[in-house]
Amino acid sequence: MILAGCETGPDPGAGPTVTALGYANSLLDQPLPADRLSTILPAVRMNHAFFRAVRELEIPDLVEPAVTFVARRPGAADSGE
Amino acid sequence: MIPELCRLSGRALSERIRSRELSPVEIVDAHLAHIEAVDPTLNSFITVTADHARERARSAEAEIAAGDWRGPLHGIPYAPKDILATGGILTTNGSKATADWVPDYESTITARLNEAGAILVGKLNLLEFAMGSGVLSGFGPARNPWATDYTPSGSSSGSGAALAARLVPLSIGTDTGGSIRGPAAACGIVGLKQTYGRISRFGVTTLSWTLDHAGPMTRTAWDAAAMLGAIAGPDPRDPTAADVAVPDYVAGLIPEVSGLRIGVPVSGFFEGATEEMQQAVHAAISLLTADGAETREVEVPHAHLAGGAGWIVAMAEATTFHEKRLAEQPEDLDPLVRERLEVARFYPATDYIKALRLRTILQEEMAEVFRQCDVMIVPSSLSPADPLRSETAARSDVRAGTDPDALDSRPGNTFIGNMTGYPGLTMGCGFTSEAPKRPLALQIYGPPFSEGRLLQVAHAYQQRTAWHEELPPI
Repeated sequence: MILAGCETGPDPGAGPTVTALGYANSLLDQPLPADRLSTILPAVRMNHAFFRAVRELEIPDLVEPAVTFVARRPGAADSGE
Repeated sequence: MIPELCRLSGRALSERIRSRELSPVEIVDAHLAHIEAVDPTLNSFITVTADHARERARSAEAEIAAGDWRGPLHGIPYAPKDILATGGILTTNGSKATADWVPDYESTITARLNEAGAILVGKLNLLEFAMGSGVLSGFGPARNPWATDYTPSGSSSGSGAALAARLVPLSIGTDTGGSIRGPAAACGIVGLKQTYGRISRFGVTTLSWTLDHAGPMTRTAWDAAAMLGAIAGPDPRDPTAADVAVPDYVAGLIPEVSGLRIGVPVSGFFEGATEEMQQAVHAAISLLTADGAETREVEVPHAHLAGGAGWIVAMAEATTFHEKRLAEQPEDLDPLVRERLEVARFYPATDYIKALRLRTILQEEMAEVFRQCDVMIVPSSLSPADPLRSETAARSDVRAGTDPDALDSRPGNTFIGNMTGYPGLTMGCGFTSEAPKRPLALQIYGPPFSEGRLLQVAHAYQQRTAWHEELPPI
């Protein structure tokens, strides 16, 4: 939620900037120390890019999140065993 | 050199126990001696419970002699991944952060194996908290017995290595994105990630509540069937364990495949796999079709997103689980674990929810596949075992020149099983032609609670091949 609104760098596709990450960090209850922020920034950006395909996927409005597995629905045990 | 006795499967050992050719004491002693001889090289064990095992073996010997045979696991050695709580026995999660933890309770899985008469001989190495580098995890890397400079994959790395090296015939792994099936593929053994809810996770340290599974790792489908029968079923201590009847998996192992409908995906699973891996999987399918199975082309249109979406879910949940530890003991964590947890603190909640919505889509797409076929066979991983990473490379997911798009090669072929909860069984189906010789592996998917069918197909395949009998050069 935080970083989604913070693609403020010259190349939004590259993911969060140092400034954006610093701002997001400042909003956490237990912010990371500055040296850790700079250490993890490349990984933050990499994850941001890695998830792009999921983020940009167009999903029909009626599709709701599945938190756990379909088998817990009534009747799901009928699998032919 | 692997001792003859240690080459036997759990089934073969059990038959010899029943016929009094072997005693549990002899079997345990032989495996302990083999562990002592070989494991300094492989580092697959974190703890060896030799005294406990010998005591249990003597009890089993006496019980069986008195006519109190509990079943096919009675007197057979096993060692679980060291992420399962074992009462009174060190349980480290592969981490310095919990290196001294001795639980005062028993996981349901190990309790049920103990009740079935199986004998704990130790606890096996893993990637820290089931997500570390292996290389810099708390107890160092396990090594692949097929090539000791190579990884046995993870996170159930010790389980894969110990089984392939014949240090134990039975193990338990856990699987959140492929952590049973990855080592099964890299080490050429059998790994079953069961249906979500088939096996209780009580006493299994969490990585991701909604993706975690635990299941048998063995060398034969028969042994996996015997283990699954012993540990599956509802558990009042785990509300996610489904109240679904447990069939006699061993009795269902009929090596017949006539009429079996095998789904072969037209996209999303074979792309990116090495040519040799693809050939080995197709050869296995051809072997089954030659005996009467039929193939159907199937499609899981969003399969290529399972890895990315699964990663979001897994790391977001893991970071929630480890929040306190991350704040209080960051220096005790594998640098890669620390990085992944810290990074996931910045995941947008919207990404997590989007991944959960994709999960709904993937579940429906898999359900559609199994309206058309009985099983789906795919490569379990895209390539054989990789060389162990250097300590520098193991510190981060980011490496110079890393193309984020290349991360699509995260294990989508296995992650889709965790995202949907559908069961998947991985088994060896060949070896590389290039040195060092390493296993190639396929994965059999099925609909919810179809473990019996997966095991039956795997058993039928092993009855027709001998990959699982080949021995690593240790």
